Amino acid sequence: MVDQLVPRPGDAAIWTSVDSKNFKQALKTVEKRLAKKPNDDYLQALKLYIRTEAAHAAGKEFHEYKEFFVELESIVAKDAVHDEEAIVLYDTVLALILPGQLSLWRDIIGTMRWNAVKASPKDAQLAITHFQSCLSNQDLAHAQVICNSLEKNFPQEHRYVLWNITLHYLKSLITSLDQKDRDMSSRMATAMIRKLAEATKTAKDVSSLPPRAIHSPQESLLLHRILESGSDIDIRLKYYEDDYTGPGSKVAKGTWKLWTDKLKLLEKAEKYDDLLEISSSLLPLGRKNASGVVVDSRMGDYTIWELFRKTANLTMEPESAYSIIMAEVDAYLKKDSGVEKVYRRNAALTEVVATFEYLKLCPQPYFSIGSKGSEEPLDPAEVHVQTTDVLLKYLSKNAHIISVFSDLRPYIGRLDVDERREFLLRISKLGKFGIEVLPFEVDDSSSESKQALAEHHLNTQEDITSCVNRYKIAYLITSSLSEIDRLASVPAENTDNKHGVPYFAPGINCKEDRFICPWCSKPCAVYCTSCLEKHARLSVLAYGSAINDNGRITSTLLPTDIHPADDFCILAAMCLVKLAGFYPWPLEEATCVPLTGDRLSHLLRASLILEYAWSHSKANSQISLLLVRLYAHLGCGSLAMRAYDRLGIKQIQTTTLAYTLFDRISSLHPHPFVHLQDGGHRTKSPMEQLANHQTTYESFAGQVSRNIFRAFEHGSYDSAVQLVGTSQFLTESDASILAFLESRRMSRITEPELLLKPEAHGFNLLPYNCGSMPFKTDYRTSFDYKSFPNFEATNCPSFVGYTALGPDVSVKRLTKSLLAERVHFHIDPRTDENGKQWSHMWFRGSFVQMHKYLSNLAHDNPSGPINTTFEQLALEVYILMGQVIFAAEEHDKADTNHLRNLTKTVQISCSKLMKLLKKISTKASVPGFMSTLHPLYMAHELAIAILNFDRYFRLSGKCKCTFVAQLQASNKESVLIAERLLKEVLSISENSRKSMDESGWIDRVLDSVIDGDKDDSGEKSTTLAGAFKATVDADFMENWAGEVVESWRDSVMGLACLKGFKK
Amino acid sequence: MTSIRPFEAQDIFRFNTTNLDPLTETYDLNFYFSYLARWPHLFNVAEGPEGQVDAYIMGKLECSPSYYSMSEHYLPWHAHITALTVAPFARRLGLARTLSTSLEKAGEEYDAWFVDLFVRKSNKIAQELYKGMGYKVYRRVLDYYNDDPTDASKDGEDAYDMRKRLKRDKTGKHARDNGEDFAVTPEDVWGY
Repeated sequence: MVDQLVPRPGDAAIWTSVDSKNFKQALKTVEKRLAKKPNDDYLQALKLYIRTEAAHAAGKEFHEYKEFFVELESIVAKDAVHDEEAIVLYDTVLALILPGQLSLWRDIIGTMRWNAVKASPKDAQLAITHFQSCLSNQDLAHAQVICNSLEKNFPQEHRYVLWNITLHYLKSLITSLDQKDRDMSSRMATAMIRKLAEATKTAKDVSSLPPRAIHSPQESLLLHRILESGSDIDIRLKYYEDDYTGPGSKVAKGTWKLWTDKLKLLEKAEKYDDLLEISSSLLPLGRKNASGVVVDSRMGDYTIWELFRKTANLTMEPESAYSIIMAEVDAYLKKDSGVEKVYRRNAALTEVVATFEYLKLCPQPYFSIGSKGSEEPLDPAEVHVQTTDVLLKYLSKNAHIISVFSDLRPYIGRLDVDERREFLLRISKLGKFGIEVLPFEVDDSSSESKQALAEHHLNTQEDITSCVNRYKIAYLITSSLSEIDRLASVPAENTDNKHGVPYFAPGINCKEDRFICPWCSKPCAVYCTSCLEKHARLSVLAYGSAINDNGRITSTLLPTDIHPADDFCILAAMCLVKLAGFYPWPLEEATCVPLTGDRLSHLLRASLILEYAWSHSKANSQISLLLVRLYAHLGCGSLAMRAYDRLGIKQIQTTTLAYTLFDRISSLHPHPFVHLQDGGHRTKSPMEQLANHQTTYESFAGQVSRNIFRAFEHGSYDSAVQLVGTSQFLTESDASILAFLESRRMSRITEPELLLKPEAHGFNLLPYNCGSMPFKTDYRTSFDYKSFPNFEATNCPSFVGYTALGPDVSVKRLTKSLLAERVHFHIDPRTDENGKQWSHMWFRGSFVQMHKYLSNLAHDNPSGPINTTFEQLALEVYILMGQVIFAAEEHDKADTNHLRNLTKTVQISCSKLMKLLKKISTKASVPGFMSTLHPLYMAHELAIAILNFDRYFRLSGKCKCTFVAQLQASNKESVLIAERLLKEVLSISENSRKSMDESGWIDRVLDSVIDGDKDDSGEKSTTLAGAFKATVDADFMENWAGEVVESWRDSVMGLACLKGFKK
Repeated sequence: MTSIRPFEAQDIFRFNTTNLDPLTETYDLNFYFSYLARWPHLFNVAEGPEGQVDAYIMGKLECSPSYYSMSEHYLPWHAHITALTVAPFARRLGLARTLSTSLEKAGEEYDAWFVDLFVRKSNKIAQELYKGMGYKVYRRVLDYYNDDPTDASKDGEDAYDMRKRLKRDKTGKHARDNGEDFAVTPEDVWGY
């Protein structure tokens, strides 16, 4: 761009005039010079640039730039522009006229750059500069022809050969290109790289490799990557196994990825004998050999262990397989094996898996742990003991390490119920703290003595971690796994493919006590409330014991450290969330059920214990992530924002973690934060925050593409391929759609007077072809759910699903919402003239196809709801409105069927919403929980849309009178219903606001949290409320309750933005 | 279980496990991708059982430009640990040691004089880890960091520049005892 230019001698005056916006003066000087040198490329470009800058500064409209654009087009059609700086100026002109238009960039600037190269093919530096620019602007076609030119004119330059091949391959990956072209590029890349590979094989040694050969590890990676997409397995294996092109070759220099890829390919090709031979020869290289040398420690990688174990089991008798696996494990675990800690752990875990598999899968296992074998098969009861032995052995050695829980979780999940009981009993006896873990009695120790024992022994960080791990294991066994068992015993209607758990029709009552809990023997529903309460209570008490240590541990921690007892609180919060009736599957959605009574108490307690833990361990992001979601459920938008702020999210994290707070923010807290705790250092409204995210997001494309050339420059071809893949990922990301949709919705509520432009709210960042033809339906999810805390069983949905405010972000949900957004935009009186024209065109061109796509979606909907009930009711109306608009746009007449359907659907949706709102108004209109706020905002949006729709057709002069009359007659009833709905929304909103002005809310919060502590006999309470009383400092609790109330007050202020309809 | 593999560009979508830690900085994408473009073999990830990022190391090989060669702060050809971070739940597994050892090996392969890194003065755990691996403080860089995560009232924190000699430095000419007492300013650090 122009800021890259170094001013030419004598140009200072021109640039000073431009900088001071004295464009007239600048033009005068340039024209004077042009009179002397009329064919000077640079001066011509400078003149156009100054004219464009002047127009830009004058705030001219888009169509007024047309003359500049025509001029640019004529320059491309003429002779080549030789002056590189002139092209930079033209590039800037285009960016001023039509920023971010990559296809125009390709047609104009890309062509200009290629023409310049064509005119001076022997100027390598010039060609490289233009090549770089084309790559940075995703113009792979011109980059490719420039590269061809370089390769042709500099045949001895090895790198140009590789650049060319890489570009062919990159083109084959670009989904926006024509499939035929992509296939052709793939074939070209494959043929070219194979030629190089063959030449590499014929070279005598590495130092005498010809330019057209594979020279480096990155080139080897590129070879195998290209072959992966365009060749059969046998051909790929041939190159992997070759001494000159495989991972063992001198060229590959032992590149680790090539080794692991080769092994994975052998597995895919089912060449198990080869795989066993190779993996069994690689593993010993990771430990000391006879000479006491570790050849390559990386060979102890778990990938190799896993393949070794799998293939041994597939190719050998169980006993023999187990023998050879254990022999290698033993060799690794020997004290003097020279194996690093990381790789020792891999061997130890292999022992767990191998023994586990042997005992579980072998019909008559002979071996027992620690012995060399037995003549007789093991007794089935002994198999149980041995199975738990192996887990116990690993646990006892690693109890003080946090990751032991996730290491063992998959295998604990594979134990049968008797084995789980056995395991649980044995861990209770294993150490000092186990007894307290169990939610059922295992001995006759009194509760007080158990507690005293626990308190007494939480002396060190290791003690605490060890205790936390056992609590988590007990929870896993008695709650998470038992819930899965109970769910599995109910006939499933179908299966949720995403989570792999049964999905039940909403009619099945999840709360019905139809089971007997195997652990506490009480009747229970899917959740055993008795066990969950016990886990929550004991975890809270254990946290209290750990934290009140007279400074023994707490005072040694830095502010950036995490307290080892934090997981007690996270575990307690998870139990409380379940007790509050939240499920990860769509049995009933959280936004549909009023948050009252015990449900509210549990959710408040979960938030309180996490907030208390955070006050002792501010660096723990897991606490903050959970708090964001819990506060959102509670309707505490500003507290959710505070928890989000504490995460210190920046750069790419604004994309990957946006889901935690910003999904459905428009129906939680669309208005600016008036009350922000922690000093309110961030006062941005949610809309400003999203705009900020969008600005960051916009910068990603440049940050990625800048490095693609750098990767070429440094011969990192595999990296270049990855970067292009990431660039594609970002352009197809669902995060940009979510930000756009939420911003638009918030704008409707908070900016009712603002003139709405089509490009507003990040429309330009939406995925390519988003909402127009052909539809992009494979948006990539850039949300990171894995960093969310999760102690659930491996085959259970992650805990993030339990805290969702409604169905997750999905392609279906986003596509439907985008269609609804088109309808809103079309009928919104705020839409500007340009937007109106654009919208008419869209309805004529794309509505039918998009609607067809959505209709197909409706028939392909096995995984349950994709929206909340309120969203769904509104969406059905919006889609029908779209059909009517389309008919009017396309045929200038109404389809009576559509009109009838619309009226009927409006009636059904609005009366359902009215019923739900009545429920809220009688049960829980205050304070403003998410289950109150979400329906109010959704109902308001729908009512206003129905009224806007009516007005649109009444006031629009576009349609014929017959249609308007027909429509108005049909709309009459809808308008009345919408007005009633709006009235109800406004009435509930006003009540909510007024009620929050009353006093006594803090006491109500405190009562909700600690009321129910009926046990006054002992020092330690046996109730949940008592555990909180005993653990959380009273002042802290009161302050926190005050913050919650203030946050509720802040939330209901948003309801003041909900206005009646302006006729 | 642990698998060490090269960092891939799309790991930026899943490195919150490590980067939500307050001592781990999250930079713009240009920063990560410039390393991926220039030193892909020195940018590695330790992946956990569910495919999560348990730890990663970013490294580079470089020296000060030749015009700087007469300066007392001239940096000869060396390996540098730019970032090494381990997720809180994956600590005490030896990941930091394994990842940094891999960079040392790369340094040896490329005939570097030493491996160096900067660590916050308050980050005692990291300092102990590196000392245990043979690193020594070479110099203290005053106010190298422009914040102090342990004390919000401060707007800067010193760094220790720690070094470990590699085989090329037979006489220890690029090592120093009592480096804690040798203070320099950030401007003395090339590339700051």
